[in-house]
Amino acid sequence: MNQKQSFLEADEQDDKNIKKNALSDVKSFKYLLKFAAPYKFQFIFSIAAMMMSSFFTLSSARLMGSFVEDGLLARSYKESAFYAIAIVSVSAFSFLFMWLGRKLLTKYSSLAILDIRKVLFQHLQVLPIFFYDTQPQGRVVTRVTHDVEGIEQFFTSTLGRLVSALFLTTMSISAMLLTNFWLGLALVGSVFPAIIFIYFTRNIVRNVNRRMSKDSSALNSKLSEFINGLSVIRSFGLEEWSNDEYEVAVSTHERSQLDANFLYGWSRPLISFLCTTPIILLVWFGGKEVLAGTMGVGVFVAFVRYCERFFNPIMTLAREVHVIQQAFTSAERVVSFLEHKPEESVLGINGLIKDEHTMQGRIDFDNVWMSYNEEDWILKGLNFSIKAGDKIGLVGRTGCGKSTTVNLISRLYEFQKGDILVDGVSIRLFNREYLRSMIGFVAQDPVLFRGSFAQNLSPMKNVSKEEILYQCDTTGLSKIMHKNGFTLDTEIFEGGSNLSVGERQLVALTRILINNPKILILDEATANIDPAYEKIIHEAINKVMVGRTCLMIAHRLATIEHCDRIFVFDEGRLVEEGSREELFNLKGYFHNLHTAQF
Amino acid sequence: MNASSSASIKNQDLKDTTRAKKLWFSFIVDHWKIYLLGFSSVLLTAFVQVLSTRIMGWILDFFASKDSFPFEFLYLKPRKDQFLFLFSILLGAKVFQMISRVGWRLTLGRQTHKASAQLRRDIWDSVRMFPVKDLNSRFTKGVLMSLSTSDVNSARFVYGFSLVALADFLFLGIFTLVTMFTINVSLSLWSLAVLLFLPPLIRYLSNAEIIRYGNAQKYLGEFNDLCSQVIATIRLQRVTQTGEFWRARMIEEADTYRHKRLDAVNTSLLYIPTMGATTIISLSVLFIIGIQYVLAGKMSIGDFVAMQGLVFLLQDPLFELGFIISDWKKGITSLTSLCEVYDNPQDRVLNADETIEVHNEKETLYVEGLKFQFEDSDTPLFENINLSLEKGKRLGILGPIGRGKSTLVDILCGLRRNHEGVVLFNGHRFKMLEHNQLRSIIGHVPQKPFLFAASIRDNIKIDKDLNDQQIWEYLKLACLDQDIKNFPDGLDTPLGEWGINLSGGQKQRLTLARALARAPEVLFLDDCLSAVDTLSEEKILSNLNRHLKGKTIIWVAHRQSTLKYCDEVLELG
Repeated sequence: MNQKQSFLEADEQDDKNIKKNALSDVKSFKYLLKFAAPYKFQFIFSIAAMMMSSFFTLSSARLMGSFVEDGLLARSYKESAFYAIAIVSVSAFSFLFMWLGRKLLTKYSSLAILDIRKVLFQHLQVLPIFFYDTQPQGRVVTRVTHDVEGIEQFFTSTLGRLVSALFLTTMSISAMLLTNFWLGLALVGSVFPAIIFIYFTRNIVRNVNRRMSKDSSALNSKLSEFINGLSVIRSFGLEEWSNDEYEVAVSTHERSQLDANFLYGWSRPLISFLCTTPIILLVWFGGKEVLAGTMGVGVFVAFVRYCERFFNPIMTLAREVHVIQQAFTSAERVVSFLEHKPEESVLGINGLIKDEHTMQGRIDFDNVWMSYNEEDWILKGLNFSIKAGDKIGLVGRTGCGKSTTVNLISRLYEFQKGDILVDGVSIRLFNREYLRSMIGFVAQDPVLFRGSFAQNLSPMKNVSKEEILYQCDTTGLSKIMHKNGFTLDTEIFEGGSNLSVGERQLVALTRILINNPKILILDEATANIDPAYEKIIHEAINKVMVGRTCLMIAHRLATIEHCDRIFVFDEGRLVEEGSREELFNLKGYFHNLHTAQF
Repeated sequence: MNASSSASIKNQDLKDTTRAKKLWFSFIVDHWKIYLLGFSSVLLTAFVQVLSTRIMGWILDFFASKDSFPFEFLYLKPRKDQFLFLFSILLGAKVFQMISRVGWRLTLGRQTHKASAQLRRDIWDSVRMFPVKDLNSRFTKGVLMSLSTSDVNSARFVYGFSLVALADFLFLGIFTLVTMFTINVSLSLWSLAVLLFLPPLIRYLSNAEIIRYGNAQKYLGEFNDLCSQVIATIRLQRVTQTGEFWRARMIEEADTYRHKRLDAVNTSLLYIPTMGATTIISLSVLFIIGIQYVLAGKMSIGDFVAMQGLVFLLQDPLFELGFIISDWKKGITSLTSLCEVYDNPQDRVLNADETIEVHNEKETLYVEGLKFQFEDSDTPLFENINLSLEKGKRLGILGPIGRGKSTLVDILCGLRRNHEGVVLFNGHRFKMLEHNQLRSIIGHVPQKPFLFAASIRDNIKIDKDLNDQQIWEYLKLACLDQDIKNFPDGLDTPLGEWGINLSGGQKQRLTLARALARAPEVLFLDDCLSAVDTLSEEKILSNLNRHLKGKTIIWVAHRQSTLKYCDEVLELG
């Protein structure tokens, strides 16, 4: 526990270190761009479509000028009709291309995001277990969910708006500069106050948004927590207290929302105002030129339309600046998560022994020392040997090393000194996936998922129905299924919620038989079983144990009545070993345990 | 649950919304000054917006011909002064526009946040009094969470933005129309007529958008749950080599979510062709009729340009009308669902018939002919239970899992009252005793430990004023002091998702320490040490027996060994 906590802090610093380590916005964005590479032609095409759209939009503004000057002012019906038709068709194309471009961009962005998710999911599977021990679960979940959503939000909605806004602005600027360079330049320059304002307030906006989302999730967790704990609240009479606590969370959230409301309340209208400066300047300077006769009315009208195009892109930027920033932060976090080293870095290169080896199930520990930090030794020179097919019970207090022992056999952690041999071969020479597939594990709460019985019983391999049914008969699962009218195709709900704990455990045991491992580890497998199932589960366990080396972790001595030998652990050492009777007669550690319980 | 909750949402269309509307109306009336101010700001914003479009028309007209100027009193002034006058109106309009926008944001916008905070406050204010069983049926956690997030958010709209939109629609629509009519009546009528398809179309689109984003969001919730589940069970996947399966499953779900989100975003993108069609139709009408009018001399060029601007301005309120209707319906529906939470009856445990001061009687518990049967069961869980427990004695309740031990404990400590037979606590029926006083006398340690996401210290203190020394004492009684001394942050160690993960046994011992810290007269221990190792359990039992001399203890276990200190044992099943 001690070093776990310090790792919690270490990583908190790690998160802060990201900035120092110069994993800059640009770098992480470059990394993300790699995910866009497979779709680069589609992206280019969609951007081209949006460019076309902006071009058409601008043309319509230009045409509107000609329409007024050459058509209406010239009192020419033909010219007017010509420009009118041109304006209508150009507008139609503009919307069409915009729609097309945005649709494509959204679609291919979503595919790129899916690829990012795939890489993250893959990474979850190869990170060392030690990584999960030292990180709060919430943080890992956030990397895989919330942070990807931040990137997704940006790519699937903001990017499209931003790209089209950018084109529109660029083209308006070019058109104005081409029409009247100095006036154009002055007008473009006049938008800078708005942009500078957005730039300098961006961090304030970000902090306000962060605070809101932080307070909002704090509020939600509080509600969720109190709902979960309502029975405790009732039994302690904490109704009033909970209301006070909740009130604090609501008010904090309310205050951050009101602060944000205040910030947006004055800054958004101000930005809108700053965005209209070009029009005001245009009327002032352009108006003087028109009055002096140095500028045509048509040009003036076109300029009015160009200036109007300025407005929306900058407002878009102001509205979405926090999404952009969030995307950068999220990208940084996702990239730094992906840079965490995989299992390989802790456990060394994967061994070569796999399928061709027929495992017997003999296990030897030869003076094994193990520590998570090379300081506090969890296992201190552990020596034992287990013959193939032996049934061993492991007992001892919490933290005595019995779980670590079992985890080392599965190669979840590395050990520092000594060696572990399986069938006389060092465990490091085995292919890890093969080794783990040869070890069956029955936990206290079996993991079931939404899917049919058949899928739950054999999630990975394509095992024939006959084989599955045969093994169901062996464990007695068939009887239960028959009684409840279940078939192999019956849907099991998420987490197995339509089955009792006993039924779930039976599914897990049948699963083991189908996988046919040589070593079996049982971790308090019968702790929560309802009485109706106790007998049938015990029978099933006895059948599953046949022909396999079994290690049973037990807090309750009743669990290990049928073991050949019992190992008693204390502080990382094997202190007593032998049959139940032998140990009882030793009057040592085991005897103490025994008398406390019976 | 999913199926039923979506069904209930559909049914709400038919439900009576009067209660929700009353709730809404009273909030508006209570804050009528702010709403009045907000409304005036929206009015001003709309007015100025129409005005600035009109000014551009005047300016163009002024440029186009030497003798057209709309303001008579300046007719004879030099052109430069006339220009200056027009320019000042433009500038003034823009400045006023900014100010009035700030105005409604800081009034109506602000009220939406205040209203949503109040709606949230009221949720817990009501839920804290719910019978616990309601959380398993009508108001599951999922339902309540979505009420507090998405329903409050959509209800928020009717407290402000819907009003802004409504005011905007009315004023902007009317102003625009009036201005248009002053320029050219028949062109205005045509433009309006061809745009009437907009509100129903927008309402349809907006509904579809809300539903699809809702679907995507809901699926995202499930997908995130899956991610948490996968990360929580990663160790088990590693040892059972099922990681590959879970990875494939996550990818599959991620792809489904991608489709749902794409569906939603594509619905939003439908606004682009809608706007396109609207623009093209307006332009066509404007050109077909306008060109003829201008060339025939019935309309000035400046009026034409102004008309063009106004037609586009008219699109906004028509778009808005669609949103207003859809937001209003959605908001009132959500408010109706929230009202159901506010009106849900309280747990009967909380209301005493008449409050009798609890005196320390000699006999703590007296039970005669107690029988209990679940509503959906044909046979009683237990019946004919009789017992009498004197103050300071220890009662054991023994029986295998699933025979009603926990239910019996709930009845004996007064948290469950739907039983038959007599149960007297200190000589009175529970319903005569006041909830809070009762709870301060009775301590209850449940089988499944529940801890708050707070520090260890706060989990023990809760609402009590305890110093560290006292806290350590209780931790020592529960044999947890050594464990906590090993944490670098000691009592400040945070628990929960972002804190440290205690083992099952540690959690149980902490809940025990928490109950002890409340110094109860009567303590119910509901098999609360099942995950504690045997030696520690033995130590805790003897600690309790010694420390709680003179206090009454009811011990529940499914093993005889736990009950060695009991004076008498009741066997169930």
